[in-house]
Amino acid sequence: MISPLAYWRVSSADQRRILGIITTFGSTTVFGIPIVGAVYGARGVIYASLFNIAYRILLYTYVYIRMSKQQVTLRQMMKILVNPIVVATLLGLGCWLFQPLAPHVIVGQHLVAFYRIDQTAPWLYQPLQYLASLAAPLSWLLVGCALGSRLSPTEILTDRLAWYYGALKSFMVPAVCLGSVEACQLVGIGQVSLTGIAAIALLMCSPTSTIPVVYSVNYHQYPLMTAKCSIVSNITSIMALPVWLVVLNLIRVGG
Amino acid sequence: MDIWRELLRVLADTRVSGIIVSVVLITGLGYVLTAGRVFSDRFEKEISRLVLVAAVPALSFNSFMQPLDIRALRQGMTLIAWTLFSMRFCW
Repeated sequence: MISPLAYWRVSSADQRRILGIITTFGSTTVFGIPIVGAVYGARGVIYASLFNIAYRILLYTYVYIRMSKQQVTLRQMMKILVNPIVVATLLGLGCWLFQPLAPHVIVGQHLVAFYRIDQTAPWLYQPLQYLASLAAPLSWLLVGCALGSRLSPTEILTDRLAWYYGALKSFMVPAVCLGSVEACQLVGIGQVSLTGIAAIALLMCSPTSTIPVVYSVNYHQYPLMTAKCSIVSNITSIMALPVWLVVLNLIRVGG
Repeated sequence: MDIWRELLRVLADTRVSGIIVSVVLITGLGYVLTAGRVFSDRFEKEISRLVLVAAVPALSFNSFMQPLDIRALRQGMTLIAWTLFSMRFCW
């Protein structure tokens, strides 16, 4: 709904289709989840990861079909299922859901499922926690590296479509999603907690996902345009992040 | 609600300002070190793999190491529905 309205002035239907895809799919894994985790903790990461499962499945199937104009193969489906992030999320989700059915052990004065490694095997949980804490700073460093290696200032600063796209991706899309979630909360449809609302807004504010950019290069679907839009969206997302953090805090304070 | 006072209060929250300043400074550091050729293109690719193969999966898995909460589960299911809705809405 947003993309056809936003890009109505772009004359080529193919270009509008590609812009629609890169407006919808952001780099939720590298940018969104670490930020949600840093601000809202483990509960925020659970919500963001669940949001991300559906998101990634669509990214590897629907986006692939739309950009390559081919059908999804078995290999493509396997790629989704063996992706380390999907595997870790589904494994974690399974562990979380089946706690009441799993054998329990006594830790201190509590009964916990034997695989709750935060309680039963801190020696295993701690290295994972160290790795987890690398996600946010390394992701931010990567965004800077991407800007530093590809930014040709004059070429980027003069591309009006890329800046229009960046503003839309980082400001308009999260604003519309946040507005629609808040409107549904008011009429009592699909009740979501403030942490859930924040996860949606911060994930939607993420810069362009690298997957559609790779597809656009592989299938010759306006690769230069997607590359410029991707670079600009990294800049606009960093500009938008403080705005969204403040807006979400104001919603929390007001609400 | 005095919006400016609330805005200042939010910005004065060290957790919020800490995240904003960290994002800007660490991104800036990545930019300066790459533009100054201290980091190579290979560094970016390898760090990207480290993040996608180890750091984010560890973050995602560890976040589920907490007691089962039915309310959070319901919220999660609602969020999956919201994902599909958001995608359709933006497309």
